[in-house]
Amino acid sequence: MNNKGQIIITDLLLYIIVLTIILGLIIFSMTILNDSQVTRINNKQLNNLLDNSLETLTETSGLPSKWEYMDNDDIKTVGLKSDNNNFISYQKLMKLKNNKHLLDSYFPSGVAYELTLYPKNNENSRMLIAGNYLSNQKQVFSKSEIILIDYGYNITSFYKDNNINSCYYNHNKDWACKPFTISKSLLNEGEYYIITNDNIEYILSNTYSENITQNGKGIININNNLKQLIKNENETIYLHITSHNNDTYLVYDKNNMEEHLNNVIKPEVYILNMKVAI
Amino acid sequence: MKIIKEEKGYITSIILLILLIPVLLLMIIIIEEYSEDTNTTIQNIESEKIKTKTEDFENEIITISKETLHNVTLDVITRKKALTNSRTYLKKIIQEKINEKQKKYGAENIIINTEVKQIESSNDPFKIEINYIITSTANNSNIKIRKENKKLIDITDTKYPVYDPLPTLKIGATIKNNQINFQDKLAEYIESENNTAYTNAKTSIIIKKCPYSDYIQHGNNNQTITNCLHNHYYHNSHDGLCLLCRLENKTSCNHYGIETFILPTLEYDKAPASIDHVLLNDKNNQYDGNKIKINNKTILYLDNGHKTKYGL
Repeated sequence: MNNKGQIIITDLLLYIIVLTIILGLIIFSMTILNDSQVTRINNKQLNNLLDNSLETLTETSGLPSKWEYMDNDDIKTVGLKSDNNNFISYQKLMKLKNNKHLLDSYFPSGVAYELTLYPKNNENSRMLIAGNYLSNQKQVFSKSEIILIDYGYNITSFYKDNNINSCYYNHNKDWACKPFTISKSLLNEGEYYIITNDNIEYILSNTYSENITQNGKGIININNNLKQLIKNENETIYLHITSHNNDTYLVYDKNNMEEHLNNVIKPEVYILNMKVAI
Repeated sequence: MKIIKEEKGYITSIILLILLIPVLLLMIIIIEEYSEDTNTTIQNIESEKIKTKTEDFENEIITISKETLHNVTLDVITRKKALTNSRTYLKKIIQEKINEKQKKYGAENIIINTEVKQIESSNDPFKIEINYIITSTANNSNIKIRKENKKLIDITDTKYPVYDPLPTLKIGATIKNNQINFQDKLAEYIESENNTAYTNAKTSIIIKKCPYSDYIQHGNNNQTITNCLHNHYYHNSHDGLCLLCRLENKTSCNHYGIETFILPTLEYDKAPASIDHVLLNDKNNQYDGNKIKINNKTILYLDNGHKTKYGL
């Protein structure tokens, strides 16, 4: 610029260059805001939806409590966490599997979802729990959670407790002896098992000096033995077990799920996967 | 317009400035968007961390309470001195231990503040109720969790055995190998006839819950009652004292309490009933029971009420 404030040619060039850069930046920013911004907001919403729905499913027990035994119309929220521990309830999973559209109200229209479950070491045996298998969708978001399944068993461990009180047979330290109160109604509604990966000798005894002695390994159904020993509605039964390790459990199953009893000693790890797409 | 006609060349700078404004605005919007995303993620992680740590700490409260009950009962039987107000005393000790533990969490950047509101007997006499308010947050965080909660503390956990302070407080009985040996003291304390039935009587010091939950089963066979007596199990009882009242060396208690048998050593037809809350009661509230022979070595004296209760 000369001292009269008039533009000289180099200034003009510089001005044009700066102007072009600024205009370029404006056009670039506008493009981001117009195209990607919309997609990005969509992505963000979808991701939040995915996070929230999977979190609700795995970290809450659902409402009302025991919703898995209710009619679909009475269910307020679906949560899969067991009422007794942090595992995922098998009964709740099955209720959802048999009513695949229970989660529809979680998702806005136009958003498709898929909830699947598979063993961690066998991705091929994938099972659809809710929604529909996704195909041909443009954008798919996926999230997985590692879960353990609670089959609703009532489990008591037979660890050897040094402070344990003496049983009435005065068994020595090779034995683990524990009393249980068992009712006739529980016995009729479900099955009692001893589960062990050790060769054990066990004695069941009641408060009338009657006892049954047997040996076994693996999954042992003791319902018939207990039926012989129970005289009243509620009876305290002592279970005396010789075991060389601590992997022995007394299990009560009221849901008729004998096929999953192996999970008591070695729980199978599952992956719960959720996908949402537009 | 004057500005366009002016000749000092300011037009260029002004146009440039005007053009820069939308660029800056657009830049700010984009940066804001990204930083908000990051902030939400940070907040989520932080809130999850605070939630988990709070739950962990609540479990610690249970352990601290069990440990305190173990230590306080042990201390009371060692010093042979009753507490004036067991609820306030336990509350104070548990609060102190919680404060110590809170400091450790503070070092991990999680600020937890727990106020123990109340320690009270519960409907299950083998459990003590603790009420507290817990607030937790992290340093430089605006996430705050506050909850009022109550937990039941099991007093029969074998890891933290709780001792029965009543026999030591009431008559100064001596303890050896987790057993109370009354020597002559119990017999001297009882004023009724045949008090010598309890000379050298022994009982356990640790509170253990009887597994024969239908108490009437005790009478089904000798093995069951012998096993119960041998292990010195405790039973639910309306007349028995709860743990908190036992710590205060009371003789009566408005709460649902516990009772255990004290085994006599000498045989009479009739003697004071072999129940702790009868023998360790005020002298004018002790009553007799009839002899029940369990086996050659073991006898009990029980009134009709307790006989029916235990099916003997």
